Order: sequence, then C-alpha cells, then structure tokens
Amino acid sequence: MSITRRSFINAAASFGAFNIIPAKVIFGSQTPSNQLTRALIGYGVIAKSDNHLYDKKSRLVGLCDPDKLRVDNGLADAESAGWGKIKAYKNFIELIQDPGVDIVHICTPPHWHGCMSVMAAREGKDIWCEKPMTRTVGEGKRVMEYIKAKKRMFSLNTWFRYKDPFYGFGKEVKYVRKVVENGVLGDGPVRCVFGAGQGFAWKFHHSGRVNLPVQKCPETFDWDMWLGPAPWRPYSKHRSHGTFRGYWDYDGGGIGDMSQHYLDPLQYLLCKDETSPVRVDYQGPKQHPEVVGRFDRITFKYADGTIIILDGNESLKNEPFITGSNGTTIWPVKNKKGVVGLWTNPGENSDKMFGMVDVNGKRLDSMKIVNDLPDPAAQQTDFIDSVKNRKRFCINEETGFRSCTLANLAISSERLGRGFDFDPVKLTAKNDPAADRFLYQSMRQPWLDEFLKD
Amino acid sequence: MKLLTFIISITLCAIQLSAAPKTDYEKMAQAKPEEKGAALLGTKWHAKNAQLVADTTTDECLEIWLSSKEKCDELLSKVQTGYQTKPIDAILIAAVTQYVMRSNVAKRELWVKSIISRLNMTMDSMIAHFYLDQLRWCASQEHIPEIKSSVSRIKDVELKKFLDLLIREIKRDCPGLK
Repeated sequence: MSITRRSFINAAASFGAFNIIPAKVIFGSQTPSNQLTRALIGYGVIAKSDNHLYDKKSRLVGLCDPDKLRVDNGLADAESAGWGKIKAYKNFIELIQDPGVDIVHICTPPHWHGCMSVMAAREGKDIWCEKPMTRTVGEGKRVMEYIKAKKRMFSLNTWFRYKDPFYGFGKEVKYVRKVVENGVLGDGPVRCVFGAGQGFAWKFHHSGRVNLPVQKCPETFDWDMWLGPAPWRPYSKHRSHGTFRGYWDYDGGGIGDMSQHYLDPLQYLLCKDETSPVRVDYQGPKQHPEVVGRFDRITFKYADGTIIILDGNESLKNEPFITGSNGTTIWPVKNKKGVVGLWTNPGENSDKMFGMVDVNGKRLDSMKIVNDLPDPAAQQTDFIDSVKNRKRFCINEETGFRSCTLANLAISSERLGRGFDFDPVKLTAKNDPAADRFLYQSMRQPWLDEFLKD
Repeated sequence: MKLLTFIISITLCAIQLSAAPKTDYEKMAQAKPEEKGAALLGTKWHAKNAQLVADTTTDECLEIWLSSKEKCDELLSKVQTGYQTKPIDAILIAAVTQYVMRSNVAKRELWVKSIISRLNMTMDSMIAHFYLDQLRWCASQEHIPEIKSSVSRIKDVELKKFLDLLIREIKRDCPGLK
C-alpha cells in the first residue's frame, strides 16, 4: 500500500514523526532530487576517502572548512568525483541548519566531534562521525544520551565489526566472534594482545613537536574556528591539519587514530558492547603536558577477568592475539615482519584465515571450526537503510561510546602516568579525582553552551 | 605645507601601526622563521632522552622538587613563553602535578600555591596559560579566588576564557557529569 501525504500526515500527527524521518524518504522515489543528501564538515585528508567524498549511496551537496584553501580543493574534488557544483557553506552552523542536508559527515579532528554531533542532532540531522567518537568520556556520554533522546541515526567511520578482513586476521571479525560466543575458547575470560606482532600498529608517528615556533596564521585559515571548543593557543602549523593528532588538546596520538578501528571490532567479538573495563593500567614514560608521546603497554581488565593489552613496545610480539581460558589460542594470519603468526591451514591459502592452536600445541582446522558454528545475530549494516527506516546502525552512539571509552581510558592513563579503577556503570573513575579530571573536561565558550543546551 | 607634512606623517604612522604585530603572539611569529627540523617530534625527543626522563621522574626525584617552596619555584621558573619550555622541564612539572594528586594534602597545597605565586609574577599570556594548564589537574575550589586574582592582571581575552574553562573543571561542572 502506498503512503499518501494525507495518510502520512495523519499518522505522523499521532506519532510525532515530522522531525524524525526525512520527508523525501516518506514520499520520494529514487530520483536524484529525492535521494538522501549529505554534507561534509571539514575537508582534510580523511574527507577525501570513499565513505565521505565518493560514496554514491547518498548525494553530496556541500561542505565547509575553516581553511578556505581546503574548501576550494573540496569543491574541485567534488566536481571531479561527479557531484557537479556543490555548495560551500560559510561555516558548519550554516551547513547543519540547511534543510536540504539529511546526513552530516563530521570529518574534523576529535575535539570537535562531540559538540558538532550534538549541534547537528539538534537541527534534525543524522550523523556519520569520524573516529574517535569523542575526545573524552564526558563528551561521549553527552553525545550518546542526546542522540538517543533526539532519535537520530548515528554512526562512526569505522567498519571492521561488520565488514572487511580484520587486519592480520584475514577474515571478517564475525568469524572470531563465532569462536568466542560458542565457547571454543572455554567458558572463562580471554586475554587479547594488540600490537605490531599481531598486525596492529600503534602509529607512534602521531606525535606533536616539542618547542614549536609560534607562527603567523595564514589569512585563509580561521584558526579560532578550527580550535573551537579546545583551549586557545597561538597558531603553529604542526598543531593543525594533518598533524593535530600529536597534541592532547585535539586527540590522543596513535590511540586516538586507531583504537576504535582495533577495539570496536574486539568489543563486538568479545560480546562486550554494553560494558567497559573496571581497571586500566599504564606502563611507559611520563608524558609531556601538551605533546603526545609513546606508551609501552596499556592493559584493560573487565569485571569477568577479560584482559586486553595494547602492546606499544612489542614486548609481546610473539604472543597470540587471543588466548582462551581453556588454552586455545588464535593467531593472526601473518606478521608483517614475517616473524610470528605465519599460518597455513591445510588446503587453505594462508592469507585467508586466522590460525587456531589447542592447549597442547596442536594446530586446529580453524576454517572447519568456523564453518560448523552458527552465525552471530545479524547486524544492521546499511546506514542509508538505517536513515530511511529508522533502524539503529550496528555502530551507533552506544556501541561507539563504549569502544571510544576504551580509547579515552587509555589516553587518560597515559596522561596520568599510571593506572586507575573505573566504574563501567557510573562511567567515572573509582575514588580517583585526578583520573576523573581527564575523563571529564570542559570546553571553551561559546561551544560549551552549544554542547549543553537542550 | 606644515599641515600636509603633518597629515602625511600621521598617515605613515597609522600604516606602520596597522602592519606592526598587534599581540605578543604576532611578535613571536615574526621574530624568527622556523628552522627546518628544529622542533623535534615528541616521540623522537623521548627516544633520545628516555633515560633522562626515567631517572628524573621517579617518586623520589619528584619529592625533592616538593621539599620546599624554593625548590617548587626553581622548577616552575623554567617555564618559558611561546612553546619554548624545555621538554624535560615541562614533563617534570606535569609529573609533579600528577604526583601531588596522589600525595598528601600538604604537598598538593604547596605545589598549587607555588604555581599561583608564579602566576602572580608573570604578565606573559603563554607562561600564564602553562601554569593554568597545570592548575586544571590539581587546584581545588578554595584556590579559585586567588587564581582569578592572579589572572586578572593580564589583559588577554583568551586567557580569561581558559580561566573560565579551568574554574568549571575544578568545580567539576563538566559535560557528562550532570
């Protein structure tokens, strides 16, 4: 039965759906004018990627950036990508207030993610946000609650929990989840190691520069807008654009960059989407107060005893990726240095399957094991379908918040130079006000007011 | 003729003034162009100085800096303007800030008061900013009036905004906490 405007209006009056479902979804066909639209906030390196610039599942209609040169690049790239002449918004506020934009892609550094997500949701937009979801636990909590209250569709630009081979594993992560949730690794807690030895590089090149010079800001660049909610500091080129990750004010180095790519799928395969660790521990040097450095090891512990280790100094490079409570281990397909994990299952190309070994050291046929197990519950993996039919996407404000909390716990422990206990229900450090000061931070005005208002 | 000369002089002065750096930051930016590679990547600095950091940031070493107001002052006086504080000094100061939060009340009070005392001695916005950035992590509500008074002497709008942020954090008036 087709939905007429009248029947919709009657129904919508009852259910208050006017502000939730884009009208063109209800009435529209598949013509370009009724296709869902998106606009990009920020046109740096990541904005030029498939999910932001090139994706054809929605129509790109505009962008903004506080750097005029980047706006010009974006307009040219959009035309080359087949979008024709798209709109250059004066700033992101104009963009999110445009009724012609359905979905907002937040392609800014992390210090803007929380504020922009809330402001876009307030304007009735659905949101595709770069990772990490937010710079602090406090911001993430606010975004999670606000998105839910406003009934917006929200996702992050990380996808390994639902598609593509998971780094060194050679297979999508759902195959590892099958092994975990069907007890192949035992009934007790598991131990996971994430480092270069397992195929997960921590990108320590994302570090700031010490003793930066104060520089003259180019006239084409609105430094104050770029800073937004972050504390004001004099301009120095290395603090912005492609190298912002190296400064605590904006991000958290390699952890900020990669942890949601690594740890969101891990959270999924460990069936821990609804909780967080009770303890985080840090080993490494004392950190510079402004510039992100490196870490040696960061360890999370969950209430059930599950351990996740971020191996920064590769001291655990010869360890398996996952060790089950029954001694069964899971290994990556191959190590980039060719040292450990090079694995071949009988009859299988070693590029295609992770390895499994039992407690006695016997190789297991991981492909057979996986094929014989039931699939995990289906996930919602089409964001456009989510927007059209208001079905929550698999990486949403809640699951994304939990995996981002792992990143923020790690970053806080780095800055503290030590570990602390965490309450996964109250989402605060336990009896540790110093740790809470990193988990919950304020913002520069006027963005704090924008972030907090209803 | 005299009037014309006067007008030309005033105009030239105005042009010079508008082109001249208006703030301390702009003066810094014009002072010296960056030498390529002069500002080391933090991880590279750490790799070169790992032993120094390890040896000087132990609890025993941090206790020495907290042994007296004079020692606190000696360390805090190493803060320089324009991102030029030596990395080891910045790391030491941050380490002491975190140390006092797990130490006793007297040491925390000594450190916070020492930072406020240094705040009172500077008119440089960036040095003040560095000190405020440490107070974010260790000051308590009872310190707020003194901190406000210290910063009030420096006419910098952005410093005032940072002070506002700091006060909210000390009061734990932060997003997500309510």
